[in-house]
Amino acid sequence: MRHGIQRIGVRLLMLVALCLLGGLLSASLVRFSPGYGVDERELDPRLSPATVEAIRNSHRLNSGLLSYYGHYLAGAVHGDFGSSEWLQRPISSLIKERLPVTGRSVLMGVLVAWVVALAISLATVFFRGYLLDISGTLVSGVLIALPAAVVAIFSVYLRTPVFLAIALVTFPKLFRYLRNLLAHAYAQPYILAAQARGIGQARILFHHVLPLAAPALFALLGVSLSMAFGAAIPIEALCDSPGVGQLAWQAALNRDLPLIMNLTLLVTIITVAANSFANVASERSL
Amino acid sequence: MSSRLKNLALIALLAFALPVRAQTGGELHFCLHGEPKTFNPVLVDDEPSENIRYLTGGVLIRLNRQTQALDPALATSWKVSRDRRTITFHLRKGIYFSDGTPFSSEDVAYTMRLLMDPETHSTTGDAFRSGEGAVQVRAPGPDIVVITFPAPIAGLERLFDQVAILSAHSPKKEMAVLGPFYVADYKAGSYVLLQKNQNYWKHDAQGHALPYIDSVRLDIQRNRDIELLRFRRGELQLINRLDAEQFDRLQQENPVVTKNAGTGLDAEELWFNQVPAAPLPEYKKAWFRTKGFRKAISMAINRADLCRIVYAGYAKPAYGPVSPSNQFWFNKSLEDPKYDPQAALRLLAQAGFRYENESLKDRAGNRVEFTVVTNSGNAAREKIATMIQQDLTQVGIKVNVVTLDFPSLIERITRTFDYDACILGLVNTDLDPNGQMNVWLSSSENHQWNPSQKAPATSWEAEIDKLMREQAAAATEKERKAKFDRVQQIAAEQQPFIYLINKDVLLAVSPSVIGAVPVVLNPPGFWNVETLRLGPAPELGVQK
Repeated sequence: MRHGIQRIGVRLLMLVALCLLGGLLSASLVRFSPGYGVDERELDPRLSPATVEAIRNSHRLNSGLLSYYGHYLAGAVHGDFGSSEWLQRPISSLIKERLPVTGRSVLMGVLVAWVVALAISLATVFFRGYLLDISGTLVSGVLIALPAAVVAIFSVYLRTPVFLAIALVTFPKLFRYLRNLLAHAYAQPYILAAQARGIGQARILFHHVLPLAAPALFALLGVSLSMAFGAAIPIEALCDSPGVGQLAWQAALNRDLPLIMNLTLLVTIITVAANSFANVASERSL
Repeated sequence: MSSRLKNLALIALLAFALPVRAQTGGELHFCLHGEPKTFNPVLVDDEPSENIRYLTGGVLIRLNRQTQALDPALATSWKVSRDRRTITFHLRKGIYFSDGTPFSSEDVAYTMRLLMDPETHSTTGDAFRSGEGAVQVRAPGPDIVVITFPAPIAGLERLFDQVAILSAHSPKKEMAVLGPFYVADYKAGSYVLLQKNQNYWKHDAQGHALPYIDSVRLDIQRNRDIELLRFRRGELQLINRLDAEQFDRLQQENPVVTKNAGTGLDAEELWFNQVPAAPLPEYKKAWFRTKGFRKAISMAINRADLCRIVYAGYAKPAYGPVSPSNQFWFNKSLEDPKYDPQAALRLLAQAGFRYENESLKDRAGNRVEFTVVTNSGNAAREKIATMIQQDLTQVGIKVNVVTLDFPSLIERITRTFDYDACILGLVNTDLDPNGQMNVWLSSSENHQWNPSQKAPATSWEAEIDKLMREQAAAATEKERKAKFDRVQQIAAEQQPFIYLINKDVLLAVSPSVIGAVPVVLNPPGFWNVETLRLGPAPELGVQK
């Protein structure tokens, strides 16, 4: 028991360290990208020198990277995540507005991708038809070669909801893995024995195949969640869906250091959490 | 009257009444091209917020976008003192904000104080800053306001078109407005919904309350292609700015919906880096400082081709800092920019350059080659750069084109000065030359070719400085015009900015929008929103 708690503790610490490192790295990338600290408004001839100076000062506040990072962490501990330089609003409220939109699209997308991938994989394994197998592999092969941005453009022209685009990006990766997993499970000798004894297909699936594949399936669920979240950024940016992805894209274009910093942390936390969920789940079912 | 006759009369009445009813109310639907940064009219400095300010804000004086004259709005009359420092407004009586708070001179005073507070850093307020010192605002009566500025301001009245009056007392603060609409709902990243302000003061000639439309839905849509797609599907009724390529495509599909308001105020221009401290070889700096070199480049650029190829004919060659559509301030005596590569070569020869084996060399034998930077993602500018590259090969000059994302570009042209030449567009929102003050003063940061000079580097820059200051203090518009005409003439002789083209203002308006009269001034499509009506939506007749 004590050993278990210790292990969880160590793992949690590692997660926190990983998130912080991710945040610092992304902050450095933004800080040292060309054009950091300049503002389009500086070119506006209507502004007085005092106003331009005020704009520049607001950027200078964050220019020392380590001191900024320190201030940020101190504030974050007290629940203050700072303000966006570009939209001049508290970051917590910006994320609160947009996270539900992305959350909904990602969850729906992952759900659709899983249902379709599972259905086709089961069908290919059950019926063992070459035609089904080849067409499934072909479709997923084509889809896996499509960048998320291209899928997003199709989705704009066909006016499909954002979650379908996310599902389309997630599906091929899921399908290939699921099909192999199930084919492998069905090839086990004891499954063949069970089939030879005339046990019903449903019983074989739910009592013998799925429990065996469960750890891998949970791991896959975690990975697919983080994959879908990653795909949501270009898709939302292109489809103009008002979620975190669109915000991240705009923040990067506007060199908005505090906002980028928070969004990267958020994405890191979600990815790391999804992956550790996968790890923990797979370990527990063993 | 027999019952049959009565029925007939009723039918006739309905037949007449229906079209009228169909033309009031309804929702106008179009797009903002970015997130509005603020709903506080004093803090507005981006286009989406500016559009919302135009639709919701009540101003003392309104610039009529069509006639370019000033119309009384919340002020029934105004008077500017002889020294052009003081303006006295007489306000309309019995007016209420959208939330029912009464409007008085106190609100105007409150707004002006907030606007001019140095801590506010208001772009709108900056336009009023003519000299050191505080602005005095007095409200001697509920409907009289007297504002005194520390120094004379040229074109003072016109600036009030941008000042939306805030309420000094309303608990709703900046959300209480005096314009035709108020912000009823806003979903970040998605849309802004404006509802008709029931307390709006204006009525039409028949006494009907304005605006006719009940609400305006503004979708936040950065992607212009999606915007066009949605317009073609009939989901949007208006596109405020189309690029030439989109306009051309739409024109072929459905010429009824495309509207060309004419040549706009914005110009695209090329300039050479003349900053003495720039990290460039000395011989290059010497080229860029040579008047003959700049004039020759200007002559070697085929502007007519730029208009025809880059803008599908929806642009005009630019003459100078003022677009020909700025009726009062444009200097009509300026010569057309000529395209003449042979004359350009002669000018270059006079300036000491040699043309040998199809390449141009300076006195010291350096090959004339430079890099033009512009912002990436602007297809038109990238095409302009490529065409200039081709044009200049005729005079033996090698041009390299580099596109940079906007922040990197701004860093180069304002901080490191590590560039040879740059193509950018100058956005002109103001008709008055005072709006360009910071571009022409050699001490200013927006004097792009050589910013923030301690003392004017050349005699012609010194003359421009003097003329710009004099026009701002001149007593009559005629005197101001004479001074600014001279500035335009110097700009044409010296070519510090090589003006290339003025784009046409291109729009798409659905036939269901009745009363739309597109203009070149902002906002081109809905400047007369209060008198727009929505009719039945006829089939657009384009791809669904």
